[in-house]
Amino acid sequence: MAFRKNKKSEEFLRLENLIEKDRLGTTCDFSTLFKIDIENLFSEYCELSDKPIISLTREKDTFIISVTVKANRIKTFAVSKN
Amino acid sequence: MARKIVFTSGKGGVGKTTLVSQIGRKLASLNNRVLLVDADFSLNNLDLALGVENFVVYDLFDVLSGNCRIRQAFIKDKYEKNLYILPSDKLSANSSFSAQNIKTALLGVSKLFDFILIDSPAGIDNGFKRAVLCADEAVVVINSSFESLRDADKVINIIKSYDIDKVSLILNRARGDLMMSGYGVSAENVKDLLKCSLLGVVPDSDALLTLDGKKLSRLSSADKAISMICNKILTGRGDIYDPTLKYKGFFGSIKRSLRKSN
Repeated sequence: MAFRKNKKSEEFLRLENLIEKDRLGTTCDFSTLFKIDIENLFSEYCELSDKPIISLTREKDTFIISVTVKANRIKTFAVSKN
Repeated sequence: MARKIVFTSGKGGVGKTTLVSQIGRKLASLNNRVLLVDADFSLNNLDLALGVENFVVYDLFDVLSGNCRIRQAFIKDKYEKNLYILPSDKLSANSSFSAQNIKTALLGVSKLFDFILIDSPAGIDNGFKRAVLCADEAVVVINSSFESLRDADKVINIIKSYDIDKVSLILNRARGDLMMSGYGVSAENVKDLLKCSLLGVVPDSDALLTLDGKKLSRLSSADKAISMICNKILTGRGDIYDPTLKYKGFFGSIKRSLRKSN
């Protein structure tokens, strides 16, 4: 039987965040800060069309971090040799 | 050799012992030889859940201490001839024995049974570890409360770190009316959240709360849900009870509003 997925309430999303934090062993603000930093970093190189999607999972002793960034345009710039 | 399945949870009071006793009875009624082991040493209640508390002479502690042979500690269920209980009745057993001691004791009788279901204590202390390490498979019992879900996630990760790969969930005391109203956590959401397969859903049922060691009525929704769980344990596939069914449609909405007003 296929169950209907309930629309996730605000409380449920809070639980999801909490469990994610428990799994990673990080503080509450880690994900938010990480997302902001990644966004800032990619904004230097591309014109982002959307916010980056970051997924962090832990498998035993390894963290798997995948970042999906959508951009409208790659910025062109030259690097000064001096 | 028997399949050894431990029933555990992070949070206490989610209904592990009741489920172990009823799943054990149901499996036994389907012609399986079943042994229920109470590994919750100090807060044992499996004997009470099955109504055999007055028949305990020897317990797991006596078996492990060498005071009796394991078969002497077995208690036969009052309703199912294929169901036996290995109770735990002594407080002093709590810190004395390791998982290996219990495993060795169970190995001797493993050929006599098709299933050995182990009732684990709540929490993630030594008792939990001892119970889980005796098993080959684990079932994590949860309810819809956020505390239970959060604790279950930690427990699942610990169980997997013990190299027990077969871990599944039972959502107990599921409130179909709340799920329909969008307040309760749905089975599908739980499965996604905890990244674990769902063995079954047991509805919030008065029949389970008022058992007192008696046999569960065949007419109850809980009995139907437990039958479906047993079918899944036996065959590895099958349907899962949908607690929202009776709250769908016109009459269902009346039932929902009546329940809400309570």
